Amino acid sequence: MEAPMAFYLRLAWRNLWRNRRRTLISVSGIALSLVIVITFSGVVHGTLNEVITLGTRQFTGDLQVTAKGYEDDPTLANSFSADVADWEAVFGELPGGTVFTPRLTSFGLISSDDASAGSMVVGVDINREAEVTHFLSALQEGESLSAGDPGGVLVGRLLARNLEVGVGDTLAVLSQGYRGEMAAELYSIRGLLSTGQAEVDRNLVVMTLPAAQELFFMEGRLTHIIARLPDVHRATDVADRLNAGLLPADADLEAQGWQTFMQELVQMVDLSTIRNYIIMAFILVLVGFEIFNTTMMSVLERTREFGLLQSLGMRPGALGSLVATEWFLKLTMALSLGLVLGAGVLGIMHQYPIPIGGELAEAMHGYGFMIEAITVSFRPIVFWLPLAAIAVIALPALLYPLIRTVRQTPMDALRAT
Amino acid sequence: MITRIAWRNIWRNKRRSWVLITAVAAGFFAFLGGMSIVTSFEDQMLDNAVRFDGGHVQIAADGYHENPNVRRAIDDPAPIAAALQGLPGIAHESLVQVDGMATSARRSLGVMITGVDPEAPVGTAHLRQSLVEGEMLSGTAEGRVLISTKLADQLSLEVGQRLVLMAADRTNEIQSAAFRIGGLFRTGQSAVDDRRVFVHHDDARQLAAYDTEVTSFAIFVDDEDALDAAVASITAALEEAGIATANLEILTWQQRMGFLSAMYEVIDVFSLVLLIILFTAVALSLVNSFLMVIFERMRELGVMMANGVRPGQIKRMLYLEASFIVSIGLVIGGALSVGLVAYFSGGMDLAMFAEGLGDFGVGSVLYPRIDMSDLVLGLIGIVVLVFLAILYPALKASRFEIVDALRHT
Amino acid sequence: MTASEAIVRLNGVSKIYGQDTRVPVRALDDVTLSLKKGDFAAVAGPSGSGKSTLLNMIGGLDKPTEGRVTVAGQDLGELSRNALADFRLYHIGFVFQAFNLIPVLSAVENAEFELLMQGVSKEERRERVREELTGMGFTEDQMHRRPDELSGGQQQRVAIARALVARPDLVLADEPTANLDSTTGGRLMDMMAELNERTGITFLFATHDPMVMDRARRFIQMRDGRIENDEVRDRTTASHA
Repeated sequence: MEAPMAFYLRLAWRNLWRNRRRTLISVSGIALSLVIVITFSGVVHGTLNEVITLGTRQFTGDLQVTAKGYEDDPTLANSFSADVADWEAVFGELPGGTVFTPRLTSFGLISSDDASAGSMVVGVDINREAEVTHFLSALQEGESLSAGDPGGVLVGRLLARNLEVGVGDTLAVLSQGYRGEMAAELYSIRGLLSTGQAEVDRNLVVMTLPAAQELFFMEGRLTHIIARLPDVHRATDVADRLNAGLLPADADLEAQGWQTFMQELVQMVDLSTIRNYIIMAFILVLVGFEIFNTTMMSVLERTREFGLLQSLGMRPGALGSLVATEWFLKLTMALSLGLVLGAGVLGIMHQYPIPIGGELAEAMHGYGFMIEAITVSFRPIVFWLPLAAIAVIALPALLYPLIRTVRQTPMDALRAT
Repeated sequence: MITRIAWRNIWRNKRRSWVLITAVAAGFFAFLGGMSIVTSFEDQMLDNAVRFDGGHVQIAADGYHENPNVRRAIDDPAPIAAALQGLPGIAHESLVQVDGMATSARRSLGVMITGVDPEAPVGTAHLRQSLVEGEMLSGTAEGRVLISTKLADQLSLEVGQRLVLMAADRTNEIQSAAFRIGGLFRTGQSAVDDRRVFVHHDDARQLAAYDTEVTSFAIFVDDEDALDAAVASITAALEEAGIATANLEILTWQQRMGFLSAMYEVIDVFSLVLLIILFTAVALSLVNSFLMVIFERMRELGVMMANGVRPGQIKRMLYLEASFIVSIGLVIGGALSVGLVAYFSGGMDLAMFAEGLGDFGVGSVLYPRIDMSDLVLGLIGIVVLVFLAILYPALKASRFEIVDALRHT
Repeated sequence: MTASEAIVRLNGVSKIYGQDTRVPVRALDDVTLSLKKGDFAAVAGPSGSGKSTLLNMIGGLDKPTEGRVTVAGQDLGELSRNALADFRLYHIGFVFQAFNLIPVLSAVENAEFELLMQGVSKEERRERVREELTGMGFTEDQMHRRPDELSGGQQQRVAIARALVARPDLVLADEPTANLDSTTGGRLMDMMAELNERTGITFLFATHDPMVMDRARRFIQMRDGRIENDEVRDRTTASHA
């Protein structure tokens, strides 16, 4: 015959408060461990977020819509006709905060008086582009392009150097139009862009979208819709939703999240994630020892009391469940406390981010992107993963003390001092 | 006498001592282990960035970095190579790089033709590691080329098939030659996989119309943290050999790769935050264990004082005991960390954790390493922490009433 | 003395501690003993004479190295750990020298602990415990105090109450008066003697308190793990109905 569970709970609860200092030390130990793991998680996820948005929002966008087939054959033949107003309606179906910009991208031979080089030519909606990506702000010299300036271009710093031109000089762009026409036009350099990435700076000519459409003889047509989402992690889901019927049916289009078109970034994120888990595992080793030690000590301390309970006729299993109940109460208290405090620490770090040195921040501004501080993330995984990990780590830490208690004979207890 | 009591106390209650020793050992191990991963990740990031792109320090003709043109060559590389040969702690390779085009039956693509010395130890080692099919270039120029799997796809070519490389040489004449694909590589770095092809340096010289010239030297240093010193010693060695350094540029990777350099500093700050977090975890676990044990011993301390042991001696005993325990713990924790690092000295391939990373090539392999400064920080930090943790009970021992201590259960 | 009357039987029981060490200790040496239902017996002897070991054997806390222990018709050697626990719960009441009570439970809760484990209903538990404790002179206020708020004598009485409300066949008390002053100890003994007469529950004490020995109606003297003397005093047979 066994005593009711409620009784064990009451007994366990009171035992917790009997040695308050011990309970305080072990509960706060576990709770603060959770705080540390949550803080770690929040920081690494926050930083990873920065890395992702840094990668996607400099040029490519979180999500791209192109004609099907553009990926394999990125030519103007795979362009589509689009009305921005229609696209407002499409993106209006998505969660608020989604912004997009149209683009026309092609290639051309760029010539100055002295030299020629091949380069990417991009027509952008100047006003919209700034809401979606950063590269236009990587202005090193001169001034930015205004929306109503079809005769001006921005040129990558290294391209300008290779062509031996500067702000105010004229460039000729030579290429092939949408239907194979000869496309040629002269442009005046308004500014130089320096993204800090040589491949980009060597290979970039930016003009207004209407200017590009005129150059390539493709009024009203685009190669890309580039979007920025409120949650960069949901890009694939959003792309799936768009592909599932939100996209206009008259053109054969497809949406892709950055996870699809930025493989390298995905690998970088995966690699960092694994690295973070390994470091977290090291912290968890510590936490495991700590939980084991405190559990062990509170069990050993009470050998005598357990002996009494056995003398009174409590079965070994019942004694075990009493120990487990106490431990479970302690863990629950510790984890709840840790969760609240952890959220608090992240909240404080969110309010007062750790700044990255001023000189460095300045250098980064020059490249058109900003990581001004170590930021934290509040994604659910930041909380549930540490919580689950510590709960799981705590289980084996309980096991040995528990087995010891269940195996203990009354005589072991009576002989203990 | 006190020393003997302290030493015996440790072995009298073995369980309690082990609790503390494991806490110290686990703390030291977790700190060093965690930091070794942080360090290796930084190493690996840098390594990925520089291994195919000029090394830690690049020597080239003045102005080459701004405008990497085949016309800007190092005309007489032999004395430079000889001067570099004698320097300790560095390895170098010479490169012949020409902008050009690769043409298959299907299409033409713009490529960067990189001529390497297959017998140079460093840079080619990276290339060899990235090889997924076929063979490495041999020691003699025989018209073979290594291209990336991505390029092979785009050109619809396989190992053994032919490919024409075309380039404008240093006199602006177009040169072209047919090459056989000797092997395919995959580095996981788009800058390399998208447009690099590797050939024997003599083959590249033919395309560039070079005789013995090279376009650059890529230098790899053993100690990445002492780059400025390395640049200084390289410059000194060159000048000593009578080479006019004014016609050369000697640039560190930070000077050449502004964006990466900025990213790297962000990562440095991030690593510092990780270090603080790890250390806090260690601190918490240590203080926790030590406090718990010491509160348990209040009564025992009371008994000693009742028998006439002076508070100062109690304090000394506590500190001595802690010293023994910390020493043992640090040795165990340190040994475990060294063992871990040694175990992974051949590299820890993170691809085993995620399938997708297989495509990342050598980039997914970490080489955990214990940074000297982390080691020192960990040692000092733990010692300071433990002594702070017993400061409270030690102070208390010198003040408390014996009767209170005896009543302490 | 017939077999049916014996509540406890020990046949050739020996207990050797530290058998594998160089200095094995023979705590019990071939002890044969039986207790009748209703006995009020004291085991006396110097420390280390084996009296505590004897009580632990009878209570099923310890197992003999040799011989057989039968209590209330059950051979303890044949019982599993759970069955032994149940045996103690239903047949034995323990009273130790100290640390008898669960620190976090009040007097009432301590006293009803065994009933609770026996699965007795709440109403019945409260009624039996209240009756017992009131009979022992506890006030309503005292009943709700925790052990550390009770005097030593009160703590021992709660332990006895806990043993008795469970209606055991046998109460084993190891030095129950050792931590009490002589007046309190005397009163405790009187109370147990009265309970023994009223309920017929068998009591076995291990003690070296002369006052306990005086009041016992059966007196067993032990030395070096052997029974040296076992005398039944006249009064016992007279008062035993």
